[in-house]
Amino acid sequence: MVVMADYFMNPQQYKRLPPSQQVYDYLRDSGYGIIKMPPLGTPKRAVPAWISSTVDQIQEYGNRGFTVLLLGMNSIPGKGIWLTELKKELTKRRMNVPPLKTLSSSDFKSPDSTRKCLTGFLS
Amino acid sequence: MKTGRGSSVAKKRVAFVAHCLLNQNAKVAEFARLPGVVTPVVDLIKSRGYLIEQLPCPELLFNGITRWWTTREIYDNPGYRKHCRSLAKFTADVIEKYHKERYEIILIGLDGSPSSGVRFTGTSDPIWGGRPNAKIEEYKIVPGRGIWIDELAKELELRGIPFPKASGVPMDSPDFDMTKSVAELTAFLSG
Repeated sequence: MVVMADYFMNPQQYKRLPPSQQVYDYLRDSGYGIIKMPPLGTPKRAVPAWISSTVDQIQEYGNRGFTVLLLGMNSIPGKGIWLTELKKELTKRRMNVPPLKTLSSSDFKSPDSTRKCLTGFLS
Repeated sequence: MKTGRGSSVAKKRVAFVAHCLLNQNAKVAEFARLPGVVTPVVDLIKSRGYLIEQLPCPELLFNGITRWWTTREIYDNPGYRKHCRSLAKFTADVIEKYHKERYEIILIGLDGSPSSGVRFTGTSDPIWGGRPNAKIEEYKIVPGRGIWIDELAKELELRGIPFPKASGVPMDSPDFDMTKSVAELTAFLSG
């Protein structure tokens, strides 16, 4: 299971970042289930409930033996996964933060470079 | 869409898709048809220029991943509807945002699902209860919305937001056929 930034699903919304589908393609082809975090412009009043329901899922999958990973993007606030809010909710529930990988624009130079930086983390 | 100067601008489009179209792990055990993403469906929607937004899975969040498969009648109770309404509030916040920004919004649910069905849902007749020993053949697909989609529609109506143009991928139908479903979705997206 991968909890990932909206950017990796909808890169066309992020004008200053590479318009790359490589992360989505890789996760899709590797058979990962995706939990997509809400985009940055999500109304503030909606965020706590989104975060809470995301942590509910992390907790449920974790309790049932799934590996849950976080995948963020460095140049987006909160790594695009609302990391501060996510950590706060996890801590409140005394849960560990799942393994986190953050990518940078330089990781998108080629499909190979993206694949290389994801392979170690996701395998 | 054209600007005043006549140059073309891509139309802004967003598709709210059933949670399990991106995450088959959310399905009832043994009901997942693919390992993770439902690629033929999601890639088709993406190829038409839609942003993808993932709806919450009310069943997973209510009963967890070890839940039994069940029907619309069983989920049609005040507690489950209340749960769906709470999800509908924050989901509608996001739909409302796109609505205000004048996106074309579509919703792709999961036909045959007791929760996420858009055109068809799954029913039990007679009403089941007690120890689960039903056969899948007893799961009847009937026209109608699932409970979650029903509550989402109500929340949108309360806010004066039109329910999006919607369809469903009939992955909860026992006779599901991916090729046929993709053709149907293609026609929907073209219509």
